[in-house]
Amino acid sequence: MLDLRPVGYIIGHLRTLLGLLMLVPAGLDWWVVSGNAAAFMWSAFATTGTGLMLVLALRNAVGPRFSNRLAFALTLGIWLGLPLFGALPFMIGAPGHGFTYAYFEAVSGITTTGSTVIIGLDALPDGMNLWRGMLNWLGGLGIAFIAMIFLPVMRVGGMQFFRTEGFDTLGKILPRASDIALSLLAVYAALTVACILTYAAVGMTALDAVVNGMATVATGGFSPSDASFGKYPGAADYAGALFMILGSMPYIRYVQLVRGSAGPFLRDPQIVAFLRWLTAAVTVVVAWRLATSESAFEPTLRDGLFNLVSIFTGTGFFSGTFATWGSFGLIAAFMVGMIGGCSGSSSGALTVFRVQLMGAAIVAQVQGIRAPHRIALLKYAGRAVDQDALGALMAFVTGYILLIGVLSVAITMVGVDLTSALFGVWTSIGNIGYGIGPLVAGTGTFIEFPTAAEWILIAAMLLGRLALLTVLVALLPQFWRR
Amino acid sequence: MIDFRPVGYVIGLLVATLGATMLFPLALDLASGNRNWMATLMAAVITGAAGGVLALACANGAGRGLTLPQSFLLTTGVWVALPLFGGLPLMLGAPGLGLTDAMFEAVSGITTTGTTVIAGLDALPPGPNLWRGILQWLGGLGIVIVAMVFLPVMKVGGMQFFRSEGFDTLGKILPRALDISTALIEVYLALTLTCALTFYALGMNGFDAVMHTFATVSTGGFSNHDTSFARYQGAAEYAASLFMLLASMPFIRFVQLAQGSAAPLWRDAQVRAYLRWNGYAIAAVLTYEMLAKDAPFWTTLRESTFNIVSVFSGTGFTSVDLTLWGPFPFTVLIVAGLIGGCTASTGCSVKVFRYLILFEAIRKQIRLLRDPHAVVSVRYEGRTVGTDVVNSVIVFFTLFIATCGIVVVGLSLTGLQAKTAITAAWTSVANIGPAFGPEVGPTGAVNGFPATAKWLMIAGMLAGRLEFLSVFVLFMPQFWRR
Repeated sequence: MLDLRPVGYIIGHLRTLLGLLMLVPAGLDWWVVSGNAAAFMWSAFATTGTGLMLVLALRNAVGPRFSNRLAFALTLGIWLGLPLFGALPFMIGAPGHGFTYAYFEAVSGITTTGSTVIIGLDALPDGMNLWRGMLNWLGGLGIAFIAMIFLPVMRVGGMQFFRTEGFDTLGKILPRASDIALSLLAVYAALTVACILTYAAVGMTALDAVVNGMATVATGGFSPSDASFGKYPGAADYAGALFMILGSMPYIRYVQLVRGSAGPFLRDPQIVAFLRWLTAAVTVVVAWRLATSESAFEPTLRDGLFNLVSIFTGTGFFSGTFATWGSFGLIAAFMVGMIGGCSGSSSGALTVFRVQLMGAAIVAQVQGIRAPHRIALLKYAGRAVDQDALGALMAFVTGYILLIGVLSVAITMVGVDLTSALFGVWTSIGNIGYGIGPLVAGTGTFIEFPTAAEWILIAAMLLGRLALLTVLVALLPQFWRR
Repeated sequence: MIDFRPVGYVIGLLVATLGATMLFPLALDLASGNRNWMATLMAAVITGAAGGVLALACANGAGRGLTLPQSFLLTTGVWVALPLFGGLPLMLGAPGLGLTDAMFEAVSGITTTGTTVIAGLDALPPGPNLWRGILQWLGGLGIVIVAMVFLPVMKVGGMQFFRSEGFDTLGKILPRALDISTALIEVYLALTLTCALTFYALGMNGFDAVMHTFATVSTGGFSNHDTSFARYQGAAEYAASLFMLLASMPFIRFVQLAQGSAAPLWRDAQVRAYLRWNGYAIAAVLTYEMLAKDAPFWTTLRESTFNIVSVFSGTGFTSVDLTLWGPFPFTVLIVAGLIGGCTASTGCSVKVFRYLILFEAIRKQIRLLRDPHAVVSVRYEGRTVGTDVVNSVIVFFTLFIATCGIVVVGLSLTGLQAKTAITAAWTSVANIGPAFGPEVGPTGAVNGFPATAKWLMIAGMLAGRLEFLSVFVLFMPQFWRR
C-alpha cells in the first residue's frame, strides 16, 4: 500500500488553516449580531481540532521524496476532503442544509464552480456570504498553484507542455515552488484588492464588494444576491467583465510580469486567442440580438459582454436578460463554456490551449494526407509539442466530451429532463456555475435536482477541476500498490 | 493542378448508370397505370445523357488508376453528383419537389440517412417511393465499397488500420479492388434477397417488402408509409432488427464466412462490442420501463429492441415513439445514435471501432500517469495501433463534434428551437433519420423547416457520411498545392 502519511500531514496543515480562516466570518457575524457566529465557532473548532490531530499524529512520517503518486493523492485529498469541513457552517448554521446540499455548496465553492443550492442569498447572514466568497477565493488560489507547479510535472492532460526543462520530478521543483507560491499569492491578492476597490467605487456595499471581488478574481461566481450581478448598476457589469477576464489569464504570466518581464504576457498565444475568440463571440451574439429584436444598443452590448465573459471564463455570474434571448445565444454560450479560459488560471473546461492544439493537430492530419512521409511537428509558442503531451491532451479532450455524455445519461436515469441534465453537467464539469435549463429556471439554483443527480454533479465538478485523469487514475488499483 | 479526368470519367459512368436505374420506377409506374412514368422517363434521359457526356469528355483520362488526391475528389464528387440527378424524378414527377427539397430527399437517400421532406408518403405513386428506396440501396452499397477500398488508403479517421487487413486476408484470394467490390456486392445482394423474402413471409405485401428491405439493408430508413414501421408491429420488428444488425456489421466478415471461415466474424472485436452495447441499451431501457412503469415484458422487449437497434445502426425506422417514454430512454437513443454501427458496413455515425480505439488510448494515458516512463502501447485485437491511427481517430471525433456544433449553431440561427436544432444536427451528421422538435411535422417530415436549415442538414449529411476529412480536406489550400 502506498504510504499516504506525508499527504495526511500536509492536509492536516491545510485543514488547520481552513479552520482558523473560519474565524473571520465568525467575527463578522458576531460584529453584525446575526446570530450565526456560533455556527462558525463550532465549525472552526472541529476543523482546527481534527487538523491539528492529523499534524501531530503524522509529524514523524514525512519522508525524503515527494513522489508523483503522492502528488496525485494530495490533490485528490485536498479537493475531496477540505469541502467536507468547509461544508460544516452550511449544516450547523444558516441555511441549515443537509449533508448533500452542504457538501455541494462547499465543493462548488472550492472548485470555483459557483452553482448554488441556497435560496434567499440576500437574507443570508453576512458571515455566511463572506464564507462562500472565501471558499471561492481559496479554491482559485489553490488550483492556480496546482496548475502552475504540480500538473505539468504530473503530466496531466497535456499540461506537461508547460513543464520547465530539467524539472522532471517534483523533488527538483519543490524548493522553487514556495518561491513561486509567494509571487502567486502577491499577484492574486493584489488583483483581488483592486477588484474590491473598483466594485466599491461603482456602488456596491462593502460586504458585496468583498464577496464579489473574491468570487470574481477566482472566476468562481458565488454571489451574495439571488439576482447575481443584476442587483448592481450597469457600470458594475463592465468592471466585473474586466476582472473576470483578468482572472482567467495564465497566472504564470502575472508572476513573470511582477518579476519584470512583460514580453511573455503580451506574446502568449493563449491570451491572444482568448481575447480574439471572446471578441468574436460577443460581436456575433450581440449583432444577432440587435438584428432580431428591438433592443437598445448599450444594454444589449453590456448584457452580451457580461454574460458571455462570465461563461467563457467559467465564473458564472449572470445579469440582465441574456437568458431570454433565444436558442442561438444559449448555444453560443454552450460552446464558449466548453472552451473555457486559459490553462494555468482558475478557469476550467477544455481551455484555450487545448483547443488551439487540437486545431493544429487537425491541420497536421490534413497535411499528412498530401505528404504522408513527412514528419509533421506541431509547434506552440515557438516550442515543439511532443507526442507525449499531444496524446495526453487528446485523451483529455475526448474524455471530457465522453464524460459529459455519460454523466448526462446518468442524470436522466433519475428522471431529470435531458436539457437540464446536459447543461447541469456542462456547467459542473467546466466549473462554470451558470444555470441553464428548466430545473434551474424555477429557483435560479440547483436545489431542485434529485439527490442522486446532486452527487453526480458534485462528481462532475471534482472531475473537471482536477483535469479528469487525476481522478480517474485514482480508480486504478495498481495506482495504490507500492 | 490535379487531373480531373479520371474522376470525371468515373462520376460520369456512375451518373449514367443512375439514369439507367431510373427505368425501374418508370416500369413500375407504367405497369400500375400511373402517368408519373413520363416524368421519370424525362429524368432518366437527362441523367443518362449528362452522365454519358461527362464520361465521354473524360474518357481519355481513364484507366491509369487514381492518385490519392483524386480519390478524395472522387468520393466527395460522387456523393454530390448522384443526388443532384437523383432528385430529378422527384422534381419533374410526383411529388413535384422544389430544388431544395428534391436535393434534400436525394441526399438523405444516398447518404442512407432517412429523414424525409415528404409528408404524405402513402399518397405517392409507387414509382417515386421505389426510387427513394433504390437511392438508399445504392447509397448503402456505395459506402461499403468506399469504406473498404478507399478510406483505408485515404487514411480517414483511423481507417488506415484496416489497410493491410482488407488487402491481406483477402489478398491471397482476391488481390484487386475490383474483386473485393464484387464480393461485397454479392454479400449485399444475398442480404437483400433474404431480407425481402423474410418480410414477405411475415406478411408484408410485395411492394412494402421490397421498399423496407432496401431501407433495412442499407440502414437507411425510408419507408413508403408515413407511420414508418408502425403497422408491422410483431415478428417483422424482430426480423428487421436482425437484418439491421447484420447490415451494420463489417461486410468483410460475411465474405470470409461465405468462404468457409466463421471465426473472423465471431472473434471480431467490433462485432462483439456492437452486439454487447446494443444489448446493454435494450436491457437498460427495458429495466427502466418495467421498474418505473410496470410495463409488460414481451411488448416492451420487442419495441425497445426494434427502435434501439434502428437508431444504433443509423437506420431510423420507428414503430413506437420511444422519446415519449421518458428522459432516460430518450437519452439512450441519443447516445446510441452517436455510437453507430461497425466500419465497412452500411451503418452510420462515429462507429464502434473508433470508440474502442479511443477507450484504449485513454486507458494508455491513465497508465502513463502512474508510470510516466513506462512503455505502453494501444492494442486492438492483439495488434498494436500506431499513434498516427490513434491521432487520426481523435481528429475524427473532433471533426464530428465540430461539425455537429457548426450545424447546430447554423440551424438555431435559422430560427429553429433548441431541441429541434440539436436533434436535427444529430440526425443529419450521424446519418440516423428521425427528427424531433416542434417544427417537425406530425408524420416526422421536415418539410416545414426553413430552406437554409435544409441546406445545412444536407451539408451535415454529406460530411458525416464521407467521414468529414474527405470533405474538409477539399477546403484546405494545402491540399491543392503540389
